[in-house]
Amino acid sequence: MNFNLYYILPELILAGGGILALALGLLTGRFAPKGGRPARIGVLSPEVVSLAVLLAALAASVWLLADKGLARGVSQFGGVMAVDGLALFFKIIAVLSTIIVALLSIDFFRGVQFHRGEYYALLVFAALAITSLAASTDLIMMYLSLEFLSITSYILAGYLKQEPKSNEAAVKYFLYGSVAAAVMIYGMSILYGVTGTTSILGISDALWARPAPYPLLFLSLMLMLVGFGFKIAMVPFHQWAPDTYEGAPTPIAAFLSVGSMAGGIAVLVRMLGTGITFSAFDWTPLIILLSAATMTVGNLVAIPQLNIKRMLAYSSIAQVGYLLLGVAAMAYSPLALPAILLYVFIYLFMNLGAFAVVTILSARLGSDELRDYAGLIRRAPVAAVAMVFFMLSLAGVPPTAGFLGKFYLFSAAIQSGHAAIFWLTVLAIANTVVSAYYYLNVVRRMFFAEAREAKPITCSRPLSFAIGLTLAMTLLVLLYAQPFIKMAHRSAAMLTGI
Amino acid sequence: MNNWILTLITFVPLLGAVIILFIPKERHGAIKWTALLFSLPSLALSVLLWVWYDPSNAGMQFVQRVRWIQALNVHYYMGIDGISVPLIFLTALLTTLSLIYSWIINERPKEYFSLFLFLETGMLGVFTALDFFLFYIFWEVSLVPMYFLIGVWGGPRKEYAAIKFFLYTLVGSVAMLLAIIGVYFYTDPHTFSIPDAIRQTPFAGSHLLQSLAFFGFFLAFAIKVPMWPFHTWLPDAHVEAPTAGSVILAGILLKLGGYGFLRIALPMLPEAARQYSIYIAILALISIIYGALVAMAQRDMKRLVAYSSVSHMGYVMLGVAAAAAAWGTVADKTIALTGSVFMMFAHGLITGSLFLLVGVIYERTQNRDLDKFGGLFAKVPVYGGILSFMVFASLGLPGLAGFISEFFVFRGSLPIYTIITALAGIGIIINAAYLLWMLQRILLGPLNPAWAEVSDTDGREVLSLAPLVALTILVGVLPAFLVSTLNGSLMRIVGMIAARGG
Repeated sequence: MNFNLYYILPELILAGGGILALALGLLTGRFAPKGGRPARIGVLSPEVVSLAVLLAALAASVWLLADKGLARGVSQFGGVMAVDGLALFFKIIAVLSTIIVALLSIDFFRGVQFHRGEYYALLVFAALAITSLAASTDLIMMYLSLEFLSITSYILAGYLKQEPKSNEAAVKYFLYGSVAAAVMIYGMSILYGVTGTTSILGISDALWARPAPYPLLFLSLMLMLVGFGFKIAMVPFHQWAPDTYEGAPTPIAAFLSVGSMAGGIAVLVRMLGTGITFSAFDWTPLIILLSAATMTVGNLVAIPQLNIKRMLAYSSIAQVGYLLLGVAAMAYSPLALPAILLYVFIYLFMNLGAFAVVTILSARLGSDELRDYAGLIRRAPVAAVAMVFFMLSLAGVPPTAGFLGKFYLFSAAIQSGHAAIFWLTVLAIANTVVSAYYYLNVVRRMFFAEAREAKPITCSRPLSFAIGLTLAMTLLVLLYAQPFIKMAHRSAAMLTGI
Repeated sequence: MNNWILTLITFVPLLGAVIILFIPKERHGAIKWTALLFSLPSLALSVLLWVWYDPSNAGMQFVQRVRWIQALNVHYYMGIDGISVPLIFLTALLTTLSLIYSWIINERPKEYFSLFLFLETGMLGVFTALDFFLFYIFWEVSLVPMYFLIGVWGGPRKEYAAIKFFLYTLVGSVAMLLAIIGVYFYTDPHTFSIPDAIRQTPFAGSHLLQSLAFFGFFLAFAIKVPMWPFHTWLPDAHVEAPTAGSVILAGILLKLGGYGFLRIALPMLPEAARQYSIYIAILALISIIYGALVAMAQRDMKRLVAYSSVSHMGYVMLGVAAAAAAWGTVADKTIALTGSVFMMFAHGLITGSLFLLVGVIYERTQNRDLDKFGGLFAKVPVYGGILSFMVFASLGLPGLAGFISEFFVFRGSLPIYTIITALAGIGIIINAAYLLWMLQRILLGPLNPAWAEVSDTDGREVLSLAPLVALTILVGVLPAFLVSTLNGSLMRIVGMIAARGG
């Protein structure tokens, strides 16, 4: 069995750091004193440790991605895990999104009595789950990582124990998740039955050597898509998302919509790119249908939402629809995978930025109702202006990075030269216009409506930093796009994949 | 310096917009002066640009080309020809005058003036960008501030008008985005450079693809112009926008559409342009007649001026359609296109002032209902004089800018689309009718006693109107300076349509 600790450095850091945060939570006391500063030992507290650990893991992932020796990827632990561009890219996404989520959490839970050690440890473990999910090249490992991610997410979604809505969020997420996981593993077992191996690469080889019956492959892929679709909130497996987002602590909703979703995309891309490859089974029509349904349902249902977290939930569903457009083009366009990665990267900043602004009001007013955003420009001008850019970016309007993401994604789709994908792109474009309506609705409330009270809303330092970082990146990735596009292309190399 | 002049013109206002954000919001004076100060360099440089522009060289001038995103072959590529020069000047001028007029804005001035300068950068960028990617960014950037200007400082139905404006234009923009991506993949080597793409005539030979691409561009530009039946956003946006916003909407934003046809759709997709030119001509005719008839039915002065824009922009499109036709001489087509650009320029001056004049009277009376005015000439002679002048300019009185534009359009189009042009002549009569009727209802007849206390125009208003009056005369009397700027570039475009892909 071949393994090299250097290659799994990010995972090692995260695992160790998570345990450290847990221990510190016990030592520093569970509860922050009401109104006072949370307890710490020296400079050490669960917050600081988790942030430091995540930063270290980020550095390690970036370092590994820059390592030229890894250009073609390395297989670890007897083919269970891959260290390749795709895995490393999603490790960066996982860790980066968790860092921002941790910053939001510090603000969100300020002055709240909660189990902080466990909370930050769970966050770090959730990031670990995504990193191992992105690297999985074996059905068992895939399933375990998905479950690892799900279980940490269930707990985090229900973290506001006193609030019935948070409990509802966790229970709903759990019920959906466990059913989806059961269905998925059934699909995996069929795939194992057909090919006789759990290794993704082995599956691809087996299907190449001895083509499997079409109905069996179709059934197996459909069943697995239930599991992946649940993770990324793809229609028709999206119903948990609005309720869970609404009830979960705002930073956790942000995490589910970015980090957790990215993990699902990673595993989907790997399965379709290197497992059940296009040559074994033409999944393009299926993905086109799912993409069309996901973006359309997400956008149309987002319009009437009155709660911003529910609106962002449907918006995330719609964004997944756009990503699936890229997945659909994967077999036909070499640009598709880089476009997906670039979009995920940009989406991370714009969506977490939006959630950061939502956190301000969640934490200060205890409300996520859109009507409470009325006149926000008078009360929190910087946050309101930042929110405009996040909304424009999500809608894909320049001068924001969201435009570049959509531009690249649509370019890949057009380049595919596939007629059905072209019409799907036209549908995506129409959806973009629909989405502009509800994104701008937030802007309308913040800028056009009068505030019901004029009291300024102040912003804590971690949150200001999170908003500043996401805003800067939302603009920078367009204005200085070259390195990010290069990174996406570099990361699109999958172990023996496309 | 020559390479940087376009960048300076485009981005100095943006710098001003950012600086304004750092001025405390209570200091209205400082905010307004900063805004004015940062709009002046673009105006001065746009005059210099016109002086330095070499009409004998029909190619792109003042070119600046810097690599921006290598992976996509996107360049920061700026350059102008004779068509852009007058439009850049018009943009800078109308922005400065609008800022002067907007001195009365005391509601959230910081945001207002910052957005206004941001808007100026977007519009100037569209006229200077020569890379599709950059062009598209500026195109969309000009959308966002206008959305805010309508939505925050607009009239009673501002929120509806703002989102309608945004979504309508966005539909066109995203269609254009697909067309741009298509062009990129069907050029070899793949390019976003507008001149390079034109040189390659993408999709030559593929009828379907060329039509699809043309339709994408057409939708974006036709909505912006706007042509019937894509015009329904315009009355709402123009009526609800604050005065200066209407000036910019009518004066510049509509021209982005006409400019797009000249810069991109016609020269790059000549086959499709030729094929669909008859439909464009018919839509233009409908716009002319329909816009004029609907204007006739309006009681709201601002709405009347708004619909008159639909009618006048119809002439622009008639000239464009004639230039794109499959038959006709180069001379006729060049004249028709000259008329189109003249009309864009003149319409910017004239309708810009008419919206200012609507604002002046509305500010004093809080009324735009034409039937409630009457007999104001004696009360406000200066206002009445300027209004009469602009009305006459708008209905095409010889010697003023409007006449010369219509003359060129008709002279150029008549040999090409004889029947359509002849029918479009009816539009001129209806235009005269509703404009004169408007004048009569405001200035003549018995004075409504409610307006006995109305004061005449003040210095600020005269200052923002006088340059427009002067230019309207200048263009009408001495069209040669505009013709000589335009001629080379327009002939080049006509040549591109005629010569290739036949």
